[in-house]
Amino acid sequence: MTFSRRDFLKAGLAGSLAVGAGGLLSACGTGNTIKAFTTSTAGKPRYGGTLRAGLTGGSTADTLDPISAITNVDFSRIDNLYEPLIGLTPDAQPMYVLAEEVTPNAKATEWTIRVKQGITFHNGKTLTADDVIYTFQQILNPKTPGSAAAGLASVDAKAMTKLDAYTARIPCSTPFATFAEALAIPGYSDIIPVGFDLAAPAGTGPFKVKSFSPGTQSTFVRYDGYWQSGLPYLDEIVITDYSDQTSQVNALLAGQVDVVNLLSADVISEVQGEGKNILLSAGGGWNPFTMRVDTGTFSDVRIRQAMRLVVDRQQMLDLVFGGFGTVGNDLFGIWAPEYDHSLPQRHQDIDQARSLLKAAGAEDLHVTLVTSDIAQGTVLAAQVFAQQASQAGVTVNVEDVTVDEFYGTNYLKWQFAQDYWFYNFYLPQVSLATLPTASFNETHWDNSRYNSLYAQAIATTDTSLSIELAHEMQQIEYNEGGYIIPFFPPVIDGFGANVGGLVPSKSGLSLGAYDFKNVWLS
Amino acid sequence: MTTATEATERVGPTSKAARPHPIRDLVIKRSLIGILTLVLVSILIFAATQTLPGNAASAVLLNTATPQRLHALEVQLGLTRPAVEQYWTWLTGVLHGNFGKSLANGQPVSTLIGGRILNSLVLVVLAGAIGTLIGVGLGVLAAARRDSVFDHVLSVTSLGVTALPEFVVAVVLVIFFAAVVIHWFPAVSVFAPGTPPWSNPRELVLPVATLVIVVVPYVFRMMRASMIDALESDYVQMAQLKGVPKWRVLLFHALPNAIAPTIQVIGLTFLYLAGGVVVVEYLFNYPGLGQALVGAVSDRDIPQIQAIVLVLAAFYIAVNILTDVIALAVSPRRRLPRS
Amino acid sequence: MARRPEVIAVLGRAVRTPRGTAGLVIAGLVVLVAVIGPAVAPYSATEFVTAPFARASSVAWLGGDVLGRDVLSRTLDGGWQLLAMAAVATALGVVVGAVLGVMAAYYGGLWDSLIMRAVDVILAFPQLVFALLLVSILGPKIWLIVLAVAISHAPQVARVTRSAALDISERDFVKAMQILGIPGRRIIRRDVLPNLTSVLMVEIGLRLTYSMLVIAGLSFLGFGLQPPAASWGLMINENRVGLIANPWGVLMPAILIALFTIGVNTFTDAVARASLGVGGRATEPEPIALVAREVTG
Repeated sequence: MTFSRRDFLKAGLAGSLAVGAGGLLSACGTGNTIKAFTTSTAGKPRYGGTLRAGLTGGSTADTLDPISAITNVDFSRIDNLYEPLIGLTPDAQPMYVLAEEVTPNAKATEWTIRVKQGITFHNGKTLTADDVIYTFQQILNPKTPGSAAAGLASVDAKAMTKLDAYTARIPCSTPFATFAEALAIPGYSDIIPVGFDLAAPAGTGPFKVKSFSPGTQSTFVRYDGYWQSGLPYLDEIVITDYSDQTSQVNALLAGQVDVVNLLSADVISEVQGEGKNILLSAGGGWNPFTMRVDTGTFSDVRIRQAMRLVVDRQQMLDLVFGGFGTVGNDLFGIWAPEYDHSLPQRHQDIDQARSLLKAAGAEDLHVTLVTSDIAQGTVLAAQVFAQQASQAGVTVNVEDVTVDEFYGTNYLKWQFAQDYWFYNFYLPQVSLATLPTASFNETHWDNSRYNSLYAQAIATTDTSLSIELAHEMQQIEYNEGGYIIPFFPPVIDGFGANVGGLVPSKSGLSLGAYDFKNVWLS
Repeated sequence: MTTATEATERVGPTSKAARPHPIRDLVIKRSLIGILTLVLVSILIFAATQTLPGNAASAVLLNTATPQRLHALEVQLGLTRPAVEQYWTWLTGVLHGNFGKSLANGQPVSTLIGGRILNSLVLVVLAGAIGTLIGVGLGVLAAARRDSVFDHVLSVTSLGVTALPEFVVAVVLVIFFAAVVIHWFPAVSVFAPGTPPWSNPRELVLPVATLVIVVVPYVFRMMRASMIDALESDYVQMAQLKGVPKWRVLLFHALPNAIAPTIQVIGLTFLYLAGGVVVVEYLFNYPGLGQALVGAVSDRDIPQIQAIVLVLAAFYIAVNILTDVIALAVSPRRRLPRS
Repeated sequence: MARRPEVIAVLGRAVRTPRGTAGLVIAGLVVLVAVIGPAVAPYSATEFVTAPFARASSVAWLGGDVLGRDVLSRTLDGGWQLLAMAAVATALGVVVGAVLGVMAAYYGGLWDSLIMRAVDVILAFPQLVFALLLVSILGPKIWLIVLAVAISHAPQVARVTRSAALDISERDFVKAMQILGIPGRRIIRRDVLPNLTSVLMVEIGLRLTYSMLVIAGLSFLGFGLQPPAASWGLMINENRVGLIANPWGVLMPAILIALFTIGVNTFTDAVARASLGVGGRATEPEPIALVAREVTG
């Protein structure tokens, strides 16, 4: 699977659909008779109509600011108001959107971005390199850093320059070969115009804001000046915040909304039984169990490996996600090109776990697992883990704390806890999670061989070399790491029979990464 | 019960007789106490939020919460200032009519919850009024036909219904009338912010019905009990002996005397509803104050929590005062000290 | 002097009535299920025996819950914690409330004002909202939930006992004892309190059921007991999503909570009726009659 970093960005023109096949995954082990999941049965694209979305995951902290978007649901608005330089295909691979070309120099210390011409913002202004520079300045503002600031830390924001009206030069203080990949992650390169005002938000996206009440409802209308001609199909989108899945499903079944997000597998039969459809995506987000390797119980690698061996991964998927989702192998980045599929899939091995624990002198281990309702299925997965670990003589005390306490002063310091990540490519993910300089190093992992491998990989534009280095890094993670990654959770959404154009996305965001510009109502 | 409390206050006969306006004095005194109570309540809530292990910043940032970002946001939100200073700023703001800005999104709190107050009020008033009417009506009827089959069936049913948690009632109603069995009513009551709740009456039916079902048994039982009491009084027996028709006896002789203790329960009903809406709004996704409170608490949005709590407390105090005023007005004998 | 046995006498009278027996039996059955349940459960509360929300089968008589655990076993396991919490919260709330109410009534003056103002502050909240605020702010710990519910009961109990105690304190026999110089504490303990028994017993019954419903309501909103505890309130919350697939995960605990409430309410009914004839007094103090009438219907 060789390719060059420059090539894969040419893979798709923005707007073309890489159609993911429906019915991707089987629901094994549950005995459910679930109808094959369809992508669209609503005939041919038709202009007009108002799409009503009932979405959970929002709150009064909802924002229209792409610089500080945080939750899954924030992106339902952000993805339709703004557009990135580089986006993700439904297969979670990068594709050009606003950018025409993004290229590095030989040492990966300087990137050149050229944007397409003829694109306008909602306020009438034309997209130029000034806007690109302005956006990165906002993201990397040291006083109010954006959500993407940690992942773009190498960028030297003060030295950004304009080469011509549509081309910007982005220098990096350290080699950053994965800059282009990083831009593809939602929220990393949504371009805002110079002088952006949150009170009257303007983007290049297919819809513009009509009204916004955070935590309650927001309305968006079609932007007639959208640069991709022929799109969008819809006239209007109304997004209503729901606090509860039951009322969300009830609304869908009663026909009060057209699409809903973040369903659990338990309601699939109910939804399909009433004539509505399910959109199933093999998400790339990952929800690990995190063990601190620097101090305490888990500093002994044998205990860590034992914990990884007590997990019956398929059973966890069966019980928590109805059998949907993808089994994990304690490595992140499953859809990334560098992912090493050749490493043998771990299975539950109680005997091996017991002998490891015995060798480490921890036969009657008692540990506390801190969990919280931070993502779908987290608390359930913690309970399953506790039950499975008991088979090896390990007593896991599950402690459920509130979300704000979880992300409060003890966040990133918990001995044994969980976390959630949206999809990311391999090296960018490493820079955020498994380096001593990483902003979110839950496991406090610091392996010198691993660090030097990374330093080489991040500085080379030779893809086959970086894949080789990445494979060696993953080997180390596989043998010694502090993560238990038992699965990649599925993304299950619901939609009415009159909704067409929804395509499953591997990005981990719901409703086809909220790509509503390609959606129509029949 | 408040009325008894009021009536048993130790005031000598002379001072009571010298005051010509017991009701006006009651209102003034209780209002002043009420305001003091509101201040105490706000201090209590604020003090409690200071002990939180997390705060609004971590609730907003979630998994993007690096220590630096957390601190930056805390400074921005003013959470690093001393607690007393934060509270004082808020209090002085409130006295000028400014309830501060939400920590979650920076919007003025009054905008966020203004419409929701009306929405919840509509639910409470509708459910309270309908529940009272039905409860009083059933209570009178049951008392008139005491120990009949009708009476027993009602008593047993009311006993069973009060035993059900509110959310069970709501879930059952939704299953039957909205989502699965028949589709007469909407399963969720969602309307755009800014539109009044009465613009689509069908959306109000199930939430109000849930609250009415939960509330009727209490009113019913109290009304029945005091009606029975009144029906056994000499006054009513006299009227019956004189040959006054039964329905007149019921309505004009017994009911006026029975209503007084029921006022208390009706007042309590409205008070209960102020809290009962929380669960109902949650289940029907109804954009009211209860739903906002649950959300504000999860977000640790202190200004919003304070404002909502104040509104609820003020409502409570107002209903209490109103109940006592009405009770006092309806039963003149209670204005006198006990002999 | 014969005050103590009076409580027992009233209770005894209540038990012998049809209502009293019925109430005691129903409530008692639920308590039995809760207490003995863990010993007779076919599976442990945490093991996975079937598919999530699987229907009733020979393997799991009430089907599976959200993680495929046995609903029957979890129901049998999940009662005692809820009952214990409700009982403790009620006892605490009633005791504290009664003491405060009696003190306010008997000592009057400054004590009265202080206590009743504090009562007003707490009463300025709906009960559920108060508990919700406390628990969500300080975390869903068991002791805190119990405390929050107890605190939310105390004011109402204080008010009722204050009314009843005031009424008694005004009576001649108490005034006589005061003139005789008998210390206040003794008067309270021996003469005032025992006359409040009927009021208190009725309050206890009402409060017990409110405690259960509030704790279950808290769990429903996600602010109550946390997983993996097998508690009826929590079961209702976590199994709600699969209500259509397998209703037993929600219905079973809800039915048991309801039965307990009905049983206690019916028994309280009987106690209130039985206490109406106690004391041989010509006129009943109004508050007691009010409360009694309210529940007897």
